[in-house]
Amino acid sequence: MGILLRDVALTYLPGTPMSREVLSCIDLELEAGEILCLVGRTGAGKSTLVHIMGGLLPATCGEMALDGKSLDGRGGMRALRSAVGVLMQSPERQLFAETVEKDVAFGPRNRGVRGEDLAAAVRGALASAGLDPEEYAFRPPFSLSGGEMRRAALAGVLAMRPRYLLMDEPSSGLDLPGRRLLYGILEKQREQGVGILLVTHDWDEVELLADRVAVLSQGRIPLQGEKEAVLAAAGELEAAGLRPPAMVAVLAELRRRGLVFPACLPSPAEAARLIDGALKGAGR
Amino acid sequence: MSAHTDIAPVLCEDVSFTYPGDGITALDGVSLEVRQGEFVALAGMNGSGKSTLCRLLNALILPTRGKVVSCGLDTALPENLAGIRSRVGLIMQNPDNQIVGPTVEDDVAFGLENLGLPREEMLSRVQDALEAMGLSSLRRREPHLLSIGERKRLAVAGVLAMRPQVLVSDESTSMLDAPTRSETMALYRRLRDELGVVVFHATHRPEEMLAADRVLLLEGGRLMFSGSPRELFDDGELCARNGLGPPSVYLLARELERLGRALGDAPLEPKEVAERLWASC
Repeated sequence: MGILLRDVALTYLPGTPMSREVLSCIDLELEAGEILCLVGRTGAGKSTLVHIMGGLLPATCGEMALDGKSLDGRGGMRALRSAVGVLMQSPERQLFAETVEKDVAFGPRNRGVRGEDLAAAVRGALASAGLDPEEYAFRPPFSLSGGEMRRAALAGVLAMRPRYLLMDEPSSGLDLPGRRLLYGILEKQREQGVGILLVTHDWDEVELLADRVAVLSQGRIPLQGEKEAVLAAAGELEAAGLRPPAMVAVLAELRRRGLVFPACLPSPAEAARLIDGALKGAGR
Repeated sequence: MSAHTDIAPVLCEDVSFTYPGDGITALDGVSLEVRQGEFVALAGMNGSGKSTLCRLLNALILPTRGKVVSCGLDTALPENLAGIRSRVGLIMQNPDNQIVGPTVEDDVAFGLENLGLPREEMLSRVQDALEAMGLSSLRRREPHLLSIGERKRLAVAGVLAMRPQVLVSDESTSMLDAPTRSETMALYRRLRDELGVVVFHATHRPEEMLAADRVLLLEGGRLMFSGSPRELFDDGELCARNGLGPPSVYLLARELERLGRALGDAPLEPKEVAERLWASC
């Protein structure tokens, strides 16, 4: 079960002088029930990859499969769109209806869901997004706080009951309580078997949520794997134009000066003990 | 540099602001003063009044009570409006709210055209602003074809071209990746050091607060704290109440201190931590 990409590439305006290769040689799998964090500098192609995996943009070449079934052409994109929920950057800008309830109902209504089924889908989605239906359903979306609007937009996506969620920097601009609420929602979705691709710039978020991490750099994925291994790979992260997590970076700086540390992802207290020990070992 | 170096570039006296309509008091009796050449971080949770304060500083909104004086000009006086707008630059959260030109360079020139500057002066200012933000090679691009990080830099370039004395950044770093965020912090520090620009930067990110000279913390519309970043993070209770987790570099410095390896003032970058450790033993 999963969304599988093999050797996928995307070229804008192929065959013209303006041709620009945005993604190439992408091998990636998003499995059901996992959170896969996608990191990379702005401009690396993260949003483009989200569009392809969400069936919003056709890849120029490569193979894709959804839950073991190979996808091609328009039918493939349609299959992706019905299985995948996409939350774009600043999704609260897409809210449009007079009430939160109508906004959240928009997607399922277009699929022909009506009556009590529709009301239940909306209530369920609001509750999943941490918005009490009693309190929020009949409020205009624009009277909500920024964090609430973000979650109302997420409820609109959840109302479609996606098996996979692609989220493009869902926590940007949220304060810590807002982020914690969002993280709780994501963990719950993962528990229920939803596969989540989370685009993020925040190592704390990666450390907290990720099962696996993929690094995108100039349209390619030079590094992917288990969270600890990827985050501790200071040299490879730097080569991809990323700053490694602070503790990993401090250890890497000290390694350059000749100290020896294991490859690891330490807490500040663990890092302090490692550094103290290594300095003592070096007679300093 | 400001012609009036004796005047505080930003002064708020008992400022309150209530949004018309819903009657929500976003700011409640805030008094503060920012000195020449200061880089101030403005902290506080969503809804604490950060954006309201930012907008008050360049007279986008006027205080319901109290007085805001920017660069010596009272924002409540209509005759001061043009002066304030040309001296106090505002960078908004979403760059698309302030990009208007059909190409990158037209966009940067937009504010200057409205000042009626001579062409030569305008071209050189556009050039400088594009260079400062690393956008020279994109000058003829259409803004909507830029990445979000590039559009953020474009919004900053448009403000920089106006040569503001005060730069107000309303979460201008959200949506940026870590290297671009730290470049932005370095840029703000450079503007402070080289041009004496006052930087007023609203943010949720503790590591950006570490880069500032001083942190102001708003809680429910009131100013609850004003002090160095280190003093802020030393107050664990205040930080926890306001959703501020201390940056890991700060925690590392405190742990090393406990082990007898003091690093002096809280270092900002992993590199500085390593350098200071090496120098101190």
